[in-house]
Amino acid sequence: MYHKIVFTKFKENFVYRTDVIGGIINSFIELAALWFVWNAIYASSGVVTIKGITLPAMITYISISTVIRIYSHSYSEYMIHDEVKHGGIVVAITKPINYIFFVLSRELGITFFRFMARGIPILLVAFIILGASLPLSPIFFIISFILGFFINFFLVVLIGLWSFWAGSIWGLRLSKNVISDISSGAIFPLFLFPQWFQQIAYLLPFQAIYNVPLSIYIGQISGFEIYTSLLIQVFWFFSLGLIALIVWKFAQRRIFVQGG
Amino acid sequence: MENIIEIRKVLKEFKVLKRKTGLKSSFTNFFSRDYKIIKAVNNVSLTIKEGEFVGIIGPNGAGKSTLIKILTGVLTPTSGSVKVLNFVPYKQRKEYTKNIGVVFGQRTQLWWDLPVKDTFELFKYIYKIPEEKFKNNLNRFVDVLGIDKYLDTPTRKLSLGERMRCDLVASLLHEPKIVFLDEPTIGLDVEAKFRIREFLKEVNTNGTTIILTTHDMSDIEELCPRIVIIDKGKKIYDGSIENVRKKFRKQRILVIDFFEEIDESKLKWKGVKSIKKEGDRVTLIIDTAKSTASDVIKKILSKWPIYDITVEEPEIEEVIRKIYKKGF
Amino acid sequence: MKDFFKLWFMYMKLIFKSWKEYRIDFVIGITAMFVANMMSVVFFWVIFENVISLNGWSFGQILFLSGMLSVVSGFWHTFLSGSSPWRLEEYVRRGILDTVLLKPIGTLRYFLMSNIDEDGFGELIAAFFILITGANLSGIIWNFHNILLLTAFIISGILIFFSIITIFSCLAFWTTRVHSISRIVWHFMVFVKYPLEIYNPAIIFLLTFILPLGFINYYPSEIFLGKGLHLQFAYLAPIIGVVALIISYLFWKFSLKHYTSTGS
Repeated sequence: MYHKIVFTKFKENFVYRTDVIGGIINSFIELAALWFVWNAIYASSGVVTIKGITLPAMITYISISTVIRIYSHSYSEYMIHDEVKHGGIVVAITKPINYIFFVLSRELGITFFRFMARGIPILLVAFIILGASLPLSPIFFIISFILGFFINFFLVVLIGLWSFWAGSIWGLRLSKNVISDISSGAIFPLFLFPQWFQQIAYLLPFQAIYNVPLSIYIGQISGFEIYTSLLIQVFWFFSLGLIALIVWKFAQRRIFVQGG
Repeated sequence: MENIIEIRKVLKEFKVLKRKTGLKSSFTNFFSRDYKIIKAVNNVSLTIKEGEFVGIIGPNGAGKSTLIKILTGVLTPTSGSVKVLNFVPYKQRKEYTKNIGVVFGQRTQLWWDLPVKDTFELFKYIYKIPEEKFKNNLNRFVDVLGIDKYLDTPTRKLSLGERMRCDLVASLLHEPKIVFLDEPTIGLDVEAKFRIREFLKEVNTNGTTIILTTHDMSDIEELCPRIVIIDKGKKIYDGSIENVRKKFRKQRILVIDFFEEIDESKLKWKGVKSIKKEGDRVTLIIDTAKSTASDVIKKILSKWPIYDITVEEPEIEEVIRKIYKKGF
Repeated sequence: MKDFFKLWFMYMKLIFKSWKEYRIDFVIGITAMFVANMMSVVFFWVIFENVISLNGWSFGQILFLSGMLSVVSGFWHTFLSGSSPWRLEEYVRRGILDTVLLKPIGTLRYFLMSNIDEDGFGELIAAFFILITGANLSGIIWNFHNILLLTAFIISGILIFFSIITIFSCLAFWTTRVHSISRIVWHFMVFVKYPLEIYNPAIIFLLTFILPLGFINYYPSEIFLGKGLHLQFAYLAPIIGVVALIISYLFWKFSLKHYTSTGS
């Protein structure tokens, strides 16, 4: 049943071809700018490594980060918000499906499409033109990557569900994105930050979306550390998942009391 | 009387995308697209004099809205000439729009979050209405339409009927010579409709030309001495509603309730155009050229006892629907 | 002329009124924007913590460069985003563009007058902060001459920026999928946050002659900081600003004509 939803969303996106092309171009430009900047930084400072990372590794880092950004900048929060505001959620509940799974299926459909339309071109450019390298521990990376997706998804759901209690979620979403951008290691690896900042960032779930999988990819973490990092991700996976389900229960109650 | 609206052989074509379903089609659609051309307005000519009250009716997608958009200058016709108030609407937009008022049934012109009176005041500046005139008109309209309680209410809190009345006021403050109304009574209750109709009659009596599009037959019957019927982009009737009535007064509808179900084939007498049976009830349409209602009733009474009988003239709605199907 | 100002004043009144309606959103919006924009300072700061220079540009100089750009985009965001691609796309999509066409008022004028985006204040305030800090760190003196020059360049930067975005806004009159195409401008803006000389010549050419974003901050900053390619392009900025404005206005009218002939 759910795979039908995934399929439909996947198909839908083909209609918006300017969106697809626009998305590809945008990702290229993002990557290109960063490539130039980092090249200039390394070249003009005359260093081979910054805190142990070489230029190729940094390029790889930001390239794969762009791929992760494909799913982390989701619009599902707004879709949930719309459904709450305009009553679509009541319709969703009366159907014999779990709403959260429905949102997940929808998200997966969109994400698959975006990976195909944007992710693959980015990866091709990254590997062929920019000189990015392949992951050192591919299996661990993939596990970490998938966990990161779900952690992000649960956060998205929580923000979306906030619509039940607040008029607009726009401020909350922006705040989440801002904090995430800074503390997740999306823009550059966390250990470039001073120690005190790193310690705060490691307490937040955002670094489990970007920093962990990316660090595994470029081999910044290896051996035993990989296991501990994965464990942290698993922790966030279960706790956020649980919180999301609990909040959903409360939200549902709110529907029945207020009538949508 | 001057011709206030004069359009000749107006044609409006649109390119429309052909959509197909299925995954493979989705993929191919991505790379190449198929278009077809539809004629939303097909060679329509129309003349309207100052002070008229004209109703434009037609089924959904007939081209009514497209025609109105062309008349108001929002759309440029593919070919043909359009002259309203001696302006070419789409060419002299800013000058032209100073003299018209428009109300859309589905959308509002009022600022959503702010009190209605704020939008009115804004219009005063947009249309450069002198203070005296503005005050007088506003007070007059507020009185007649009874909206003084809503002046301080934000638009988003108004009901449909209240909002429609306010939209009407907004469109008339600058004393336009023509007012275009697109489905103004849609979704309104009987009382609201009545109020608005009375108001429109008064506005028209004062000299404002009104063009009204609607689906509501009672709007047409109440307000429009002249109707234009549009179907599939073509004008299929342009004349008085009286003419339409006269032509179809040649029919009578008999609704008979028998005590039991009868065999309707026994009713096929001369002059009976059509028979419809629903259980005990039979509806007959009689061609008054060939027979009379009373003749048919006599024949029925001689054969069966009846419970109840009603004689009607055909509904304008029915009539119009027939015109859609067969043309006038 | 007097009527124009009366109308403008009326719009201001109504806009302020609607802010009062949504006071919380107002505050959240400005705060969030302010914080988001200060993040770029953090980014630069982290880089300069780890390396000494970016192609010879110091931390303060980069802040100055980035600040100039942010002041321009912040100003646009606050006062000129009435004609943004997204707003236009919304109007077209909801069919309310017609209501604008039915009023005896210029369409572009209407869009600009009827909207002030209060979030932009957050961006603008952060931008001034960044610009001033950058100037101080770079040793720029706040004398009359410099302030005048800076103001002039910011004004021409606003003209250029506004014109470029408005041209993209016109896309709303041609197609429904405006969103992703318009984002291109913002992504190219990322390029001009950094000194243009780090890019390859093709990109420099693009950002100078095709999408003249470089004239907003990079070329003018050469004069203040004594850095850069030393092409003396700075004084072309005002000319480009005016020319761009004219082109964008003409394209707007042209696109509107297209819209009214092809319909919704």
